[in-house]
Amino acid sequence: MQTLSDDEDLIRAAQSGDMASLEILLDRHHDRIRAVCARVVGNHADADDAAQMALISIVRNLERYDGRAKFTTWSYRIATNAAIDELRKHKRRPTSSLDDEDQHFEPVALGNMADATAARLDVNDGLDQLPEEFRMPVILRDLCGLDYDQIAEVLEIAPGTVRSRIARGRGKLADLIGSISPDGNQDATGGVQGTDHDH
Amino acid sequence: MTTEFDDELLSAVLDGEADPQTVAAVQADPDAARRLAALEAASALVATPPAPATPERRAASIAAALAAAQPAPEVSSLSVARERKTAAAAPRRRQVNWLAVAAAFAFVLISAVVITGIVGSNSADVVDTAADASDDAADAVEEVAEAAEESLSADSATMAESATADEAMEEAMDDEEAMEGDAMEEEAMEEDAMETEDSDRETAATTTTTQRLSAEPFATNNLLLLEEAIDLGVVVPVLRPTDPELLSVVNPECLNPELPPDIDQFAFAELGEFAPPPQLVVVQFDPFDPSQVILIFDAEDCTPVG
Repeated sequence: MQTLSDDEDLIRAAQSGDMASLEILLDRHHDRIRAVCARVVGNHADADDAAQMALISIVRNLERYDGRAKFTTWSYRIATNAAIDELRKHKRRPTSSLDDEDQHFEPVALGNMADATAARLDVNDGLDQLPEEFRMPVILRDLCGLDYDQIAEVLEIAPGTVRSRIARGRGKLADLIGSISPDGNQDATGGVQGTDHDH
Repeated sequence: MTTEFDDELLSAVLDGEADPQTVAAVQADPDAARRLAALEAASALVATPPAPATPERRAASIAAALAAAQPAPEVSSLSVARERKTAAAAPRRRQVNWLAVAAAFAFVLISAVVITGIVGSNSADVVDTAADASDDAADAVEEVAEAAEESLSADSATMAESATADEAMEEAMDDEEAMEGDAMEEEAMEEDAMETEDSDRETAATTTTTQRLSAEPFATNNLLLLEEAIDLGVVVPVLRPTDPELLSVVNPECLNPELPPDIDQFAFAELGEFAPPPQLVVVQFDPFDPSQVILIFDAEDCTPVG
């Protein structure tokens, strides 16, 4: 007997007006949508707002979803759009101290020396120093685990461009990690200045 | 670094996208291996999952999305959509109303000063100045309203937490009923405005009471109001790139041939309702995310608008 277990079943039922299926679908995908929003906008309050807007957008457009793209790919596209919208909206309004508190350190459990330095770098601070065109592919690759073709579909750019942008984004982050001294401070010459690795 | 391998190649190795020979060569090169480790650390940093939403906030987001699944009335307009948006944000309404009252009062006051100025002098310069002042006043009203909306958006989470989807819908319906009287009053004002052909923005916004969610052009006075209508969901994609209705007015060369042919992604709009002939424009939406506008362009010469 087939159960309402996979996304396609849930989507079909939701498109037919089954609210219970819609709720399961949203519940199932909320966390990954919210995660990508969090990494794009860099703080929890805006991430929650962006995730909510993404879910609403998914609901409003679900009728048009025809299954040609995977639901996860489709919904990542909506999530990244919502997060970028939120980011731009946020840039237009003053940052409150609460937002600063949100930028808390998120510990990274990693092994070697380079990773130990990486652990001193706040993820959001690091990503915040990347241009948007580098940040998005890196997030979709490293956080969401999408392959180059899927990222190309989400961002509407060529797979070759995805590959080079991921490399440049990671390269800049690696340089930033390299500029962090063992006591956790950033070298005066550090940051994401152009290096040999920039192309 | 002296390695012959650049970040793009090393990154491809990291992602399993490089051939075995390249992988072996990278592993044999100490500099390349070191850089690969640095890239891997950067990748692992980004892969760290962010802290999740609180259970309350998570539930509120899902409830808000479920509430959005409720069917909306077929016929809409800017004024109705604005009312609906206000109704959906019921708990924050009190603040909106105070600001709206203040804005309206300011507008009336400024208009009175302007009219007094006109009556006091017949010179054309004064009339021009008065018209400019009137536009400025309308702008000020819009800015106040926008500021009110922005200041209130922060409260949306609280609103979502405090009401279930059903309660929110019920409240919205009650609000719509309560607003019917106001709407009739507004319509009477709109008729007066049309008679005098006053083209200020607020008037234009409230004279679009018969727009429908169809391929009919959405008629409005300017781009700002069109963008608001898009934002409020009054203008939505209703045409496909192959629709004869679209091709009859738009040069096909303006349409990217790679657009998916069977997805609604365009809408028409007429700008300059009170300044004929209106400019027919095409709103192009993202075919995979119809809430996003890619471009608004002139239907005749395809130049971007705005």
